[in-house]
Amino acid sequence: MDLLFCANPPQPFYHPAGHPAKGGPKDALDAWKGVNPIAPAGARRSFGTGLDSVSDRSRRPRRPARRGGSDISRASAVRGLALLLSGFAVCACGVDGGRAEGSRNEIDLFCASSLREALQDAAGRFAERPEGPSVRLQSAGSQVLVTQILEGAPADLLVTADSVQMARVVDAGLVERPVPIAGGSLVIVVRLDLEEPITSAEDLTRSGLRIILGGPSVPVGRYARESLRRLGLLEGVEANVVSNEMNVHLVLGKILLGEADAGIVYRSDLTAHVAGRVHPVDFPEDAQPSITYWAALLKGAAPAAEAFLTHLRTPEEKAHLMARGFRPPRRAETR
Amino acid sequence: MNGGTSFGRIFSVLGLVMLALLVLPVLGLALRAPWTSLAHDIVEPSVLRALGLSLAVSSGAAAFACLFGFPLAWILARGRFRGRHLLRAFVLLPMVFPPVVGGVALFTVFGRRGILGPVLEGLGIDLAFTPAGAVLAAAFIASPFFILSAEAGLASADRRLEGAASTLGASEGMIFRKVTLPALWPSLSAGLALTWARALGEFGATIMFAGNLPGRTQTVPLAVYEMFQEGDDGGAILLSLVLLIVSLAVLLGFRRRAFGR
Repeated sequence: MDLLFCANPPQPFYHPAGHPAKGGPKDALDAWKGVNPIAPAGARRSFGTGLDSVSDRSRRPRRPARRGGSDISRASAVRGLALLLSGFAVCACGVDGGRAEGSRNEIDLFCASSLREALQDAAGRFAERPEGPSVRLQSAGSQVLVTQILEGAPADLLVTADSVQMARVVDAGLVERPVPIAGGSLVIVVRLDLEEPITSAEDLTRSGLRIILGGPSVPVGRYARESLRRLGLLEGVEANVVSNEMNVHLVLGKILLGEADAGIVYRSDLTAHVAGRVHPVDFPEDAQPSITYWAALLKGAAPAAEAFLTHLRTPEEKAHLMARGFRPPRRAETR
Repeated sequence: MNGGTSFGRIFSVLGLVMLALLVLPVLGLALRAPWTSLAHDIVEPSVLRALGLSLAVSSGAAAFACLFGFPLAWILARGRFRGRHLLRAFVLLPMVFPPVVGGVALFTVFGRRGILGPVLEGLGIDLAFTPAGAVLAAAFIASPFFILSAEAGLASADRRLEGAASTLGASEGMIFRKVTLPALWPSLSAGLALTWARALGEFGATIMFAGNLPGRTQTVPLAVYEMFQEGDDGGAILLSLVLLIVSLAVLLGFRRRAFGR
């Protein structure tokens, strides 16, 4: 297990779209293509250099006909709108501050919502070391972070909750060699005062329930649908879905408010803060998807960011993550 | 423009700065939008559904604002009671609600655990996560625009005309229809247009209270947000522009009908 975390050199990034040369596990690839509505049909391409990336990004998989104007100018023009829109989900305060200096003692970390508390703690421990740089952390749904980075948001280190989102920055040539830092598992959360209890995943198909999932492009929503499909429950559960949330905290939030009956989140989301306020129901182990959190340094990242990434992969930090309900990354995705 | 005076010149320059800020971003979007795929994108069922839902929800919210907002504006403008100013301030508060908080606030009243939750449940009315909830959220955020405008119209209306009509023997209903309402029409239609437009762009309270489900509660702003997150920025811009064009057409048409020009 330690090997998975501390392996040196890092394991190659498993590209979800499959790669002719490197090739990922076939079953995982098929599962991914099955659940992801934006699965790029033309995504079987090399990881891409910076030059490819611009045109790669504009090649919308569902809308092959769209081409028009200069891709580069379009990309820069939408930057403002993208940041504005994604700003809804992230309190993006002071991202730009102090980035100009060469050797700054700060790291801009963009991390998936589900890892926020865990990485905040890790950053705190890291900062205590002599000369330990401070970590500025922004968290949001992985798909938001990736969109922000693709549109030029300054980050040193990116941590996503799945490989699909990481693949977007890899394809854009913005990062090299993502490494797995943790795995996870799904859990069903049920509001406390539900009259007829939910005890299994099958119960989620009971008519009249209000179910909340992450959106199909949000990692937690993608994982949940993948597992429900494996259990043959997807259609029945989708009939009960009342909202596709933009990140895992919003799923949990609406269950905590008592306004939705049940949802599917990560086990690591069941923090002390939530304990006793929702009723957790185990998800069948054989239907658990292969959840992997990937971390990658952005090109031109501060040296301190690399040190922090190394710190995240130490056995001590691994133990902290396990204590929070994360798992070691699965072998299937870490080959 | 009174071009001869220095005021006219200064105002033209300052006004142009304002105009640039308001119009250039729209122009910028229009320039970057992948228009070539418009014909292909616009007929996509998901786009049409979001567009149709948005128009229905914002029209519903505008209707709600008219039906219940006008009487409230009347009370605020014509009533003489203590706490009127406080009431007016409260009426305008939804305009400054942070996006998500507006939705949570609606949950605390209309949600299952809300103040009216048991009553609504007894009546078999479900609002959270329904299209009706989307209308409610939009009305909550956008109605103040109509009330504010209607109240201003009522306050500045010349009440001597109503008095004159009354001395000529007109009934109360007749005065309202033939004297009060025609004089108010400009401010009412302006308020209605503002409310409708604000409801059309409503995002925060809607995504929180009504949820985000394509075909049911996913209005255009929510769909655009999701497209952006999926990396489909071209589609998001295109859909936004379609929404802007539709609103522009409606607002222009509405104005012509309202003022006959």
